[in-house]
Amino acid sequence: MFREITPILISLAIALLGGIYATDEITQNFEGFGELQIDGWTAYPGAGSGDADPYARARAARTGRIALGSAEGLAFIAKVDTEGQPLSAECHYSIDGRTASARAWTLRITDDQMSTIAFDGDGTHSAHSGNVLRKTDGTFSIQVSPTASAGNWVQSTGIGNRYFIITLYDTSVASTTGISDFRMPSITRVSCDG
Amino acid sequence: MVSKSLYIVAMGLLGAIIVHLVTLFLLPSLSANNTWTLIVENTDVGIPQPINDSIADDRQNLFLDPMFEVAACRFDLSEGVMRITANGDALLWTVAVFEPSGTTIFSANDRIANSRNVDLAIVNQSQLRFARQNTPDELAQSIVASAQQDEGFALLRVYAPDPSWKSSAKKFLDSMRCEFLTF
Repeated sequence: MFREITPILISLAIALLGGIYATDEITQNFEGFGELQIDGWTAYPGAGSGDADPYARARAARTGRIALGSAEGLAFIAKVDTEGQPLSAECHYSIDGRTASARAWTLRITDDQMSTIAFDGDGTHSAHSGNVLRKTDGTFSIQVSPTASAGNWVQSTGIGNRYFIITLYDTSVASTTGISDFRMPSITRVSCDG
Repeated sequence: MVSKSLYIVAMGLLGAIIVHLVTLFLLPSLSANNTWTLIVENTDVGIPQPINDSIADDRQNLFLDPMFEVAACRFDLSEGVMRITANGDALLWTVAVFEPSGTTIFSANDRIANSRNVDLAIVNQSQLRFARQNTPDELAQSIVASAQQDEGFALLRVYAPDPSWKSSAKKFLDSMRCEFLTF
């Protein structure tokens, strides 16, 4: 009796534990297919739409994220600098270049759970297309650092890994993927205090 | 003996794939963290409600842009056509309509709507047929979003990149009306 049931029980245990573990692990870390990569920035144009894949849907349900509609905008997430190092709250970064075309864009800094860091509305924890000074060729340079810096400065506070999120509003990027050459700014590490 | 153990593990892994797929597809409807649960708990049908991170608990991340002021309206089209209006001075506004699953079924912005003011009608399929045949005067200027399901919610986002825009963005959201129209 036990000789026959034990193998079935073992199989069932592997199936249940393995399956649930896989779902848990994947939905915690995997954003779904259909990502759009531009210059080190990643966006998920299909997220929240009817075309979203099951992994993207499960991920959204787990995090409670409210998606941006395609006519609203598209969020681009950067997790590493140009050398592939994770972004750190203690380092000074220079974000240089231009964004893909959009009517407006915002830059915010989040932790690695994508919660915005200490935004208090005074404008120094974030930047947007309306308050960034540009060079004559239309490009900009934004300094993200714990201590004040000349030019466009966004303060970073705390410790740990950080993500930079640039959200483009009223942009055609999502709908015309691959047709024109979209650019996003580069993120260069200038120095690290920690 | 070895082959039997391998067989047991192989069956287990096969089962794991099935369990993984089942839990993956069930997660959106079972998750207590999903957007619809949050909206139902925090809003009443037909009453505009400001939405911000404070209504979410620690495990949730609404992923809202802090440079936007946001309000939601929950609707149930069995009570009539949902007409959403708002007006005032906004740098940029966007609106999206969601199914309970959290999927966006419609989105627009002020440039697409070609109007500074929001005037959106959300209709189900039978209301859509009716509205096409004889458009009621109230909806003559509205953008029409058609929904497959009666329940859902709409989200209006108003751009307020710095404190000077916060008050006009809030005024814009204060003017938001969500009314059911029956014909």
